[in-house]
Amino acid sequence: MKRHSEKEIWGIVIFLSLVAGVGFVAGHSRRSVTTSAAAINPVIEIADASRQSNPPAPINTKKTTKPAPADLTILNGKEFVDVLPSLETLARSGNLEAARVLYQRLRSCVGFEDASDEAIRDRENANYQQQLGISRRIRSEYPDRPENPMFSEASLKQAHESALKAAFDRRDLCTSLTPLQISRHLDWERFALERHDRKTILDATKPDSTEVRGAERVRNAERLADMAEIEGNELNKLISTGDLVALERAAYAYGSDSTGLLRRDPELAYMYTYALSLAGGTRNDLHQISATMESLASGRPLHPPLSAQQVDAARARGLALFQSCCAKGTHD
Amino acid sequence: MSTYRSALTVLAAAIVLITGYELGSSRLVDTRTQVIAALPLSNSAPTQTQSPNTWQRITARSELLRNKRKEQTAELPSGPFGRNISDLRRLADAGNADAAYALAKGYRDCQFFVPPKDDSEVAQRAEDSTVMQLNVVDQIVDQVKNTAEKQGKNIGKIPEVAIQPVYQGNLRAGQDQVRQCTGVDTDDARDWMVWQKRATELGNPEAELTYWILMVQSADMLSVEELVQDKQLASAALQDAVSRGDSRALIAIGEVLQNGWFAEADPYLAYAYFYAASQAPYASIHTLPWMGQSIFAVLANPDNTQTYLQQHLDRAGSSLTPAQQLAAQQLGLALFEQCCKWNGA
Repeated sequence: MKRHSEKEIWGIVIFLSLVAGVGFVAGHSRRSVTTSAAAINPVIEIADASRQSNPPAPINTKKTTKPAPADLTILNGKEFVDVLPSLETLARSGNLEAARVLYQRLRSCVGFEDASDEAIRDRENANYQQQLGISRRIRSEYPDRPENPMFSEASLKQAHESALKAAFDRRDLCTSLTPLQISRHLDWERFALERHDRKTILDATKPDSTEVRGAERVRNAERLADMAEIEGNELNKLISTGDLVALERAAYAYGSDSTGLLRRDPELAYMYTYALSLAGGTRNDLHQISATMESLASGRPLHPPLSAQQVDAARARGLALFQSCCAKGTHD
Repeated sequence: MSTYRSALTVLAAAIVLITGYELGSSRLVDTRTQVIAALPLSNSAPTQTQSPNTWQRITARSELLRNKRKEQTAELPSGPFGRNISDLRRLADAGNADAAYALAKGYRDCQFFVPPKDDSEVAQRAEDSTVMQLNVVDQIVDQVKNTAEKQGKNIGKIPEVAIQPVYQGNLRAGQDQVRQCTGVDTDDARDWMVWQKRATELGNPEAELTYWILMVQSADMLSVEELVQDKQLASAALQDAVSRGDSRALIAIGEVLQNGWFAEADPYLAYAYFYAASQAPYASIHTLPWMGQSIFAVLANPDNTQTYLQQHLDRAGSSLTPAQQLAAQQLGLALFEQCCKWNGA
């Protein structure tokens, strides 16, 4: 009886332990099924900034695709959409011109808003009439001045026709692309930057290069910050080969009041501009360079003036840069 | 006897099951408390005897801390902003979130201030602003009419904007600006966003609720590196507002998610957040500090959060299936419960 009772007690103890274990596991897993708790934290999760060195994966699901033509720059909007998969394949295989065409055409659709034929015509006509009005007013106010061929009525009409064609072309292109396809423009630009494509590196120094403004700039801030780092390094590599255009673009990009990919840095801009001044050039170039340095040193509305020490330091670094990159020879 | 023993066993099993469950869940829920409890309160064990200097030092440091705490929670000086700047700066430097926000707001309102010669110039400016605003409103109305006409729709008669209240509003705003901004250095005023950031970091509720939209509005002026940091701050600020039980933060998060301002747009979660916010009592649209007060904002937005939320639910819901909407509503209820119900919202 006693042995039997002991066995029974042990049985109960094991049973209760098992029950406690079940309870513990159930309690432990409770939080993972509370969706609200999980939703609160990652809800405004910041975009993934992890580096992506692989080419962007294909997202065009078209099964049959036209081959890309030899001259990729003449593609109109519809043709571009037709050959998009071939272009992606070409770019992935290392054709950087294809990568360039991809990011340039895709980014032309950032912020695109669809419009009817009539609305496009109205908008372009309004622009044309405005240009025409300005041109006529200048001619009537300054009848003795020779006419600028760019603003002749014939040129303005031609420009209007081109603009109208480009607007319809853009509409055709942008309405055929998905938002996901358009968002890939940054991936392709980064792809070309990482492969040291000079044209892309120079292109990215323009303040409006990425076409990413406002909310788009906020959304893609992490990707852009990564690209900015790559762009800065690639630009320096080009400069180290004596590339004067790259030096000039660096001076402009870091000194510009408009915010682009590279962070505004007047001291760095002064350094590049000073190195550029040492490389010589025409009298006009040097006059322009000197004015830029003066403007950087005295400060602009968006940044304070450089101190004398900062100017001296920038000059010393500019001299060292010139000696290492360009003293033995330069190229454009 | 056997029945009694079995009943006892079942009872014991139930108690043990509940205890195990509670133990398991508390291990996860109380992580924050555990972290706080784990923080060391001092770096080393106290020595047995301390010199009088040590006690004086401790007293002085305690006094400093007490003063700082006083400044952090001190009431803000009253009167025109231009006269209070140095006091506000001192308080903000001591960590007073409200003072930092008052500086941000005051500087922002005064950044383009040009002192007028006299009262007649203030009136003239109010008149100019009114003409300009009414002209823009006319253009918008014409555009709306033209578009409706082209689409063959009849939008009926659009009520005319009454001139007098607009002028009176502009005049009052102009007079108030003179009162508030006289004596403000416009160079300092241009840096208002620095104070907005400081106020957000210090946890001022209004600053927390508005940092995200100010960041989007000034995106083109900021470097991408600054934007990365600001996104983290704006995100943390909204989470903080939610944890304070402020249901307005649910609307702000919904806006961010719907517009895809921090990452790709997420209509499902946006719907859930708007639905959560709709569980709180409705209020005037002006309780949302990110909504503009200008004539254009007034014309473009509904005047209460009920209509505002319904519009947003309709928009976010249009890309969801009925099943997804239902699931998002369930999530919204849970979000509201977690955020705001305890707060009496």
